[in-house]
Amino acid sequence: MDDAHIIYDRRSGHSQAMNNFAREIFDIITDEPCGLSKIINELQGILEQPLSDTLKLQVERTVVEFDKMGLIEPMKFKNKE
Amino acid sequence: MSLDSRTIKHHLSGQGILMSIGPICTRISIKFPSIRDDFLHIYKGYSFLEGPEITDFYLDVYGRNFYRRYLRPQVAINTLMNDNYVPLPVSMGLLSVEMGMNWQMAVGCKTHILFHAGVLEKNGVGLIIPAISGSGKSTLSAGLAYNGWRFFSDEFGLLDADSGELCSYPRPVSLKNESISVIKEWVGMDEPFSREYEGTPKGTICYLRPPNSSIENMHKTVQPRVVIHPVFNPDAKPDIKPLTETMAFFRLVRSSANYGDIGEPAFHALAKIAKECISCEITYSSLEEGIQLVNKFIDENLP
Repeated sequence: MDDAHIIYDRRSGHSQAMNNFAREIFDIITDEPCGLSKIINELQGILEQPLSDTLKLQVERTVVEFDKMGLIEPMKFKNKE
Repeated sequence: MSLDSRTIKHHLSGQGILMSIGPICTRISIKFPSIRDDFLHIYKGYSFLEGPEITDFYLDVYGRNFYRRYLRPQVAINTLMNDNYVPLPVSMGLLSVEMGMNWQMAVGCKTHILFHAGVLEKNGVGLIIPAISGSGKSTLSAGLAYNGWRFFSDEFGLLDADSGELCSYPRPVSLKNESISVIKEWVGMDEPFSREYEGTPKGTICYLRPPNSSIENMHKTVQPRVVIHPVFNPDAKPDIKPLTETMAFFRLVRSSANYGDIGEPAFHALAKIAKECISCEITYSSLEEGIQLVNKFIDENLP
């Protein structure tokens, strides 16, 4: 779409809209299950600079929103990140 | 082969007759002569069949018992969908017929993506007018239908998910209260109208048969090109507000009665409409103004 990304959740049948920032986070999670710190590392790699505390908080809030929407679910990691 | 009126009445009063409207075929039987007359007047020129045909829906209009057919007669309907309708006086019988058919479409249609919307076509341009009740959707659809547009529907827009084309389902337009006199003046003749049904839960209701050309061409589909969300406000200044693709998408989802049932094909079909069609919201204070805004938006924006 012109101003947002729309995804369709096959499990719930719901459609969700997300901005570029949320879409980038979603793509990282979709590539491989990971935790907050890995998402932040990946984003820092993409942006080629450290994330500010405000942006780190925004990442956390976005992941919480994904959870509320039912797009992600918690899982146990074998190794600590 | 078209059936003569005597044969139609005979089947209608007995086991039922098949009525084909666009892609939907309904078997209808009506046990009350006065309702049959109202029904055959408003559905004049439609396609009735004796069968066999694949039937989508079934509607039986009857009296619950012998006394209710003659003493303070009441109309009950059976749609084979575990429904339990409040019976109406026989004088409002046509409302029962229309409500029964609406209910079956709204709840039972799974073959097409269903929009709560008016749909019209002109010069190969498919126009969708999604709206909630009271927004003037039926009035605007009727006004456009009697102003050079081909009428597909005022209530149920049907989209074929595979082809992405709009299917025509030109049932009579349900006009309410003030819009009745507005459209009667606009159409300029009484013949296509039903009588007026007063004292219904929605006030006075009158049905309008679509133009003959719309009924004759009910099997021709069209590609959607324009989506216009109408807002009727008698005190407002005329306004056209373009919608982003994302807004257009979610408004279409909101107006679809079976988006969740159809699932992923509906998502792709609606995303295609949001991306490829021009979309806006219009605010208007009269029928003439609404039609002017529709034409203006299309003339200025359609490539």
